[in-house]
Amino acid sequence: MDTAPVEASPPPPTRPGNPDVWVVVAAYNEGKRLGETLRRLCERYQNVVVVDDGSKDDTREVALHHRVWALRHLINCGQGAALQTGIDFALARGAQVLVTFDADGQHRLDDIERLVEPVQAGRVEVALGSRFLGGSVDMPRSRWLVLKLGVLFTRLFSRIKVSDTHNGFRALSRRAAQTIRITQNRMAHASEILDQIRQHDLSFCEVPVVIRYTEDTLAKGQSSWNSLKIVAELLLGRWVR
Amino acid sequence: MNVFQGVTLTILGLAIVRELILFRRGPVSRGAWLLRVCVWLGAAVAIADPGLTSRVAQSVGINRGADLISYSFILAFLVVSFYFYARCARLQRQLTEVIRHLAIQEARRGEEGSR
Repeated sequence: MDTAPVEASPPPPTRPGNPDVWVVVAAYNEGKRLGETLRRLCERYQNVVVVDDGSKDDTREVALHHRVWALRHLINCGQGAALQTGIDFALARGAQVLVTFDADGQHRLDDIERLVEPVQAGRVEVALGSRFLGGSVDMPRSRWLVLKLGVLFTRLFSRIKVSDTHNGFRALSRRAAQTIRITQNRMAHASEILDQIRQHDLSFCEVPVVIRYTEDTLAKGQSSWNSLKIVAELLLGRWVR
Repeated sequence: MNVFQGVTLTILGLAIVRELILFRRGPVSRGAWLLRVCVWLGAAVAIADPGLTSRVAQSVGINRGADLISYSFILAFLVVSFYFYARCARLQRQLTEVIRHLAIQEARRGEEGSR
């Protein structure tokens, strides 16, 4: 299901090797697709952190073939935990702007600059990618419906008005990254981040991005039924501290 | 006293004796110890006098003693489930912190084209 034209306005000029920007990639069993993603990322960014979340394949080896920082979780902890590990590492090395980017090639490289720009300019603390403002290629109708229900749930639960709740493409200022602490190890982390943005009163904006779905990404990605699990994790997570 | 009462009361009696020995031996968590003793005593009293649960049930508006026990078990199950979920979640967070620490300590810089 295409929600908008794929090719939006041409991307603003990139600044190759911008040392302030750190791209954090969480990867689990992504040996097949990670190489291409990292090859493209390394062409533009000198600071890329890959967190191998206890993969059983050659994800770490693939990462080490590129000019990136490779970290490895000894066991699989979940995407939320992997992102927090990457964020901690990037912050310790002086990152000023942090971008979370999917390992599977769903995200477009050109969109990174669009996300980073409002954060680097100091207009907002967090820039959230939105496929409903940008576009998506080959999104199944069931996924579209689940994401829309997610938006509704987030408005009620987190009381934050966004058009896309479970988009892993976002940019954080250093202050935001220091303030937000992901405790939801698995997929509920996306909702937790929105929750904390509101709790800490961090300024944010949404930026149109394009998400490209393929058979591979749909097969590996979270199923629509997982959304119920995410809701349960989020609700229980509020009670359990 | 029937056979069932004889067997279960003996087992519960031994459990209470064991609790007393544990208490005398050394430091125990007083809350947890008291809870265990109450559970063993409660079970022993209910088994020794089956009519007691019915009288207690009727005093709180429940007809049968068996229903009172069922409701109590459901409530206890929910409390215990939540307790273990919370404990498991805390443990998972602590484990994640350890794994994170190790991952950051052992970070490696990859080299383009290396194999």
